[in-house]
Amino acid sequence: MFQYLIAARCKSQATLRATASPSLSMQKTVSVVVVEDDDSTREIICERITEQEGMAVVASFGLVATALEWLQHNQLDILLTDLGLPDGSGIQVIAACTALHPQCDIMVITMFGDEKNVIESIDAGAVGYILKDADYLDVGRFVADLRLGGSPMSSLIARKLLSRVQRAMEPAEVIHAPSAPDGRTLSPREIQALDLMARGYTYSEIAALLGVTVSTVQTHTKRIYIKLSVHNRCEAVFEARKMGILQQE
Amino acid sequence: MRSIAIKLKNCAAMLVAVALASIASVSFAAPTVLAEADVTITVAGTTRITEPLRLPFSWYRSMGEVDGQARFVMQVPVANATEPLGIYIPRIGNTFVININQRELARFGSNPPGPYDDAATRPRYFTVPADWLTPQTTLEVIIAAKGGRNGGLSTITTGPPAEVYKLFARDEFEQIDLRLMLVVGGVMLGMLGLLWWVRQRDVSYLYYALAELLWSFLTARHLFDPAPLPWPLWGHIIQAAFVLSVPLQCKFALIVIDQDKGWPSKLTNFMLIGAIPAVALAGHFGSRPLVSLWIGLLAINVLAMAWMVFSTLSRHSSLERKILAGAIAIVLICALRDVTVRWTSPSIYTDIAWVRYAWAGFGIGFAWIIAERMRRATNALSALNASLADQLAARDAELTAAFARERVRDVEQGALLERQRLMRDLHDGLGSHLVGALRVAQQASASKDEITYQLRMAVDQLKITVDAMQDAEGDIPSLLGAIRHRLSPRLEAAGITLKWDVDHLPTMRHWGVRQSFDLQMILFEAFTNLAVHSGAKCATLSARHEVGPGSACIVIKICDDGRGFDPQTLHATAGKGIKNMLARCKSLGAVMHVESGSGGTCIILKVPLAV
Repeated sequence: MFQYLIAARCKSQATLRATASPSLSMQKTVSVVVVEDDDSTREIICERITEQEGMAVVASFGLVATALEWLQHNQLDILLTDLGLPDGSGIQVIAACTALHPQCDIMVITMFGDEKNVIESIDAGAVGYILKDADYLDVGRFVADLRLGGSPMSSLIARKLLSRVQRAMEPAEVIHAPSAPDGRTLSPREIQALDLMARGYTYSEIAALLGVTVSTVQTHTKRIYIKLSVHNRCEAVFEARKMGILQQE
Repeated sequence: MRSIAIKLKNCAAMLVAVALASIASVSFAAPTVLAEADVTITVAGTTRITEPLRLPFSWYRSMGEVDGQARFVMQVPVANATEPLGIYIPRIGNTFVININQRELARFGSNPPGPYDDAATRPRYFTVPADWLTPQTTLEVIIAAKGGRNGGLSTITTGPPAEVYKLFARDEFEQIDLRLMLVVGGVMLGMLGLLWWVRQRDVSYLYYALAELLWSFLTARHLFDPAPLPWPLWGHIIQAAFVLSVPLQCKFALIVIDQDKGWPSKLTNFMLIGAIPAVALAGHFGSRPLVSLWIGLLAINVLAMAWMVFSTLSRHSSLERKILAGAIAIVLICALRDVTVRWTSPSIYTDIAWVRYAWAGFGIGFAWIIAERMRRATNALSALNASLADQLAARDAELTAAFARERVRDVEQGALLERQRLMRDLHDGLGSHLVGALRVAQQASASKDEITYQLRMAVDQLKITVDAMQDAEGDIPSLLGAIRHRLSPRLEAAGITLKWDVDHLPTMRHWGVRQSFDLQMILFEAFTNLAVHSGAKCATLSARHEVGPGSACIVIKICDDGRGFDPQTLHATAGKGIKNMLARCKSLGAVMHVESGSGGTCIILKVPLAV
C-alpha cells in the first residue's frame, strides 16, 4: 500500500504531491484528503492537520470533479469535505468515497452544522462534521477525535436521528425487519446515548450517567452515525455506479 | 258482437234446416231455431193479445211499463223420439215456467216476479227426457214480467243435446266469463286509479277510477242472478251508476286534455251533481220521460266532451291526447252502432251493447297515459339527475380551484410571514451585533479581543437564527441542547462549568418556529449575561415538567454562583437584553422570575403547557 505524504503547504486547488516513502514513525500515518473551495480555509485546515502527529494530508481539492477523479485511483483514511462546491455538492464526493472506500471516515466541513446538511451528509456516509468557525488551532485534535468517535452531535440532529430510529422500531416495521443484526438496528445503549444527546448532554455527562468511559460514548456515537447511514451506503454504491464513479463488476 | 254472429249462424242453420225439411221431410240431427210462437199476453188479469208472434219478444218494447204475463206455445219438431231433446234459450225473464206436453220442465221465480227476480240475461239450457217427447211435442213458455226490468223471451233453439249444449256453452262463455274478465280488469284499473290519486293527489285519477269502478259494476250486474238487492232499489242503483260513470269519464277526459273549463265542463259538472237527484226523482215518480231526458243530456255531454277532445287534438297534438281521442272515437262508433241496431230492430232482445266492451278502450287509454306519464317523469328525473351531476361537477371544480387559490395564498402568506420573521430576527439579532462590532472596531482604543468578542456574538446569533429555522416540533429539550451546543465554547472560555439536568418533557405541539426562536433567544440572553457579567464558576440548567393545581408547565431554571445583583433595580435599569427577554416571555405566555443575591442569580422561566 502506498503512503502519501504531503508538504506542509498545499496552495493550488488540485495539488497532489505524492511521495512514495516508508512511514517514519512506528504508528501508521493517517492519510487525509481535504475538499474545500475557499483557499485560506483549506490552507489553514491542511496546516493544522499536518501539524498533528501521525496525520498527513495526501491531497486537497477545490472541485468535485478533481476529487472524484483522485478517489478512483487512490487510497485514504479520512475525507474532509465542504458541501457547497463550485461544480457540485460535497454530497457527491461523500457518496463516491463511501462506495469506493468503505473503511474511510468522512467528515463534513459546514458553516452552521445545521440539521439539513448534516443529516444529508450522514445519510451519504459521513460520520461527523467540523464547523467552519471552529478554532482552527484545534482542527487536528478534532479530526483525531472524530476518527475515534464522530463529532459531538447537536441535540437537534440527535433528536432527528432518534425519531428516525423510533419510527423504524414501530411494530409494523419490526415485523418486516425483525431485530436481525443487519447493521442498522441500534442497541439499547446506543439509543440511550442518542436520547441523552437529544436532550443536550455532553459526552462526559453521558459517560457519567451511563457509567461508562467517554471513549465508549464516542464509540457509540460513531456506530450510530454508521448504522444510520448503512442503507444509504447501499444507495451510495448504486448512485456511484450510476454516475460512473464505481466500475461495474 | 258475437251474439249477432251467433244469431246469424242460428238463422243460417234454421234456413238450412227448413230448406232441407222441404226437400225431404227427413229430420236429422241439427238444432232447430224456434222463432215463431202463439202468444197470449195477460195484464192485470185481462188477456190483451192472442196472436202468433215472431221471437224475440221484448216485454218493455211491446207492453211498456206495465206488469203482466205472456204465454208462448210452440210446436217442436222431434226427429227421433227415442233421444232426449236439448233446449237452449239465450234470454228469458223475468220469471218463467216451461212446460213440455203439459208437463212442467222448469220453473224460475214466482208469478208475479218477486223483488229479487231480475231481468235474467243468463242463457238457459234444459234437457227434455226422451219419454216426454211425442212426434208433435208442444213447448209452452210462460214468462212473468215487471215493468222496467227488461223481461221477454229470445228465440229458442232445440235439437240433439250435444249440439245444442255446445251453442249454450259458447253463449254462456261470452255472457258470463267474458264479462267477468272485463269486470276484473276494470276493477283493477279502478283500484290502480284510486291508488294513483291517493299517492299523487291528481284529481283526474279519482274521476277515472270512480268511472271505471261504476262501469265495472254495471258490467257485473248481470252476473248477479237473482238480484242482490230488491227491486226497485236495485234498478235505481244501476241507473245511478250509469248516470254517474258517464260524466265522470267526461271529466277525466277534459282534465287530461287540459280543457276543464267552458260550457262542456260546466255541463259535465251539472250532470255529476244532478245525477243522484235525477235518479231519485225518476224513481220516486216512476217518471220514464225524466230518465229519457237525462240520458239525452248525457249524450250531449259525451258529444261535447268528444268535440273538445278532437278540436284540442287538432290544435295541440300529443300522444296522451291521441290515445284519449282514439278511445273516445271507438266508444262513440260503438254507441252509434248500438243506437242504430236498437232503432232499426225494435224487437231486438238478445243484443249486447258494444259500448259495454268498447269502454275497455278507456281503461287501455288510461293505463297508457299512466305509463306515458311515468316514462316522462322518469326521463325528467334522469335529466334532472344528469343536470345535478353536471352542477355538482362544476361546483366541485369551482371548489377545487378556490381551494388551489387559497392554498397558493396560504403559501404566499406563509412565505411572507416567514420572510418578515427572518428579517426581524436578522435585524434584532445579527444586525444589532454586527453594528455593535462595527462601532467597537471604529473606536481608536478598540482591542482585538473586543472586536473578536463582538464578531463571535454575531456569528452565534447567526447560528441560533439558523437553528430556529429548523423546526424542533416543540421539543424543548432539544432546543435547550441546541443553545448549549452553540454557547458552551463561550462558557468554557469564561471558565464556567455548566451542570446540565434536563428531563424528558412533554412536546409543545402548538409551537411553531416562532416560539422555538423566542425560547432560544431568552436562553441566549441568559447565557450571555452568565458568561459576561456573572463572574460565576459554576452554573446549572434544569428543566422539569411541573403539574400544579389546575395548570401544568415546564420550569426552566438557570442558576449560578456569581456575584448577583439587586433584582429591585432589574426593571429600572434593565438593559435592552432583559427587555427583550421579558417581551419574548410575554409572547410565549411564559413568566420569568429573577432571584439574585450575594450567593448568585437564578432565572426561573415557567412555560405553560397549554395556551
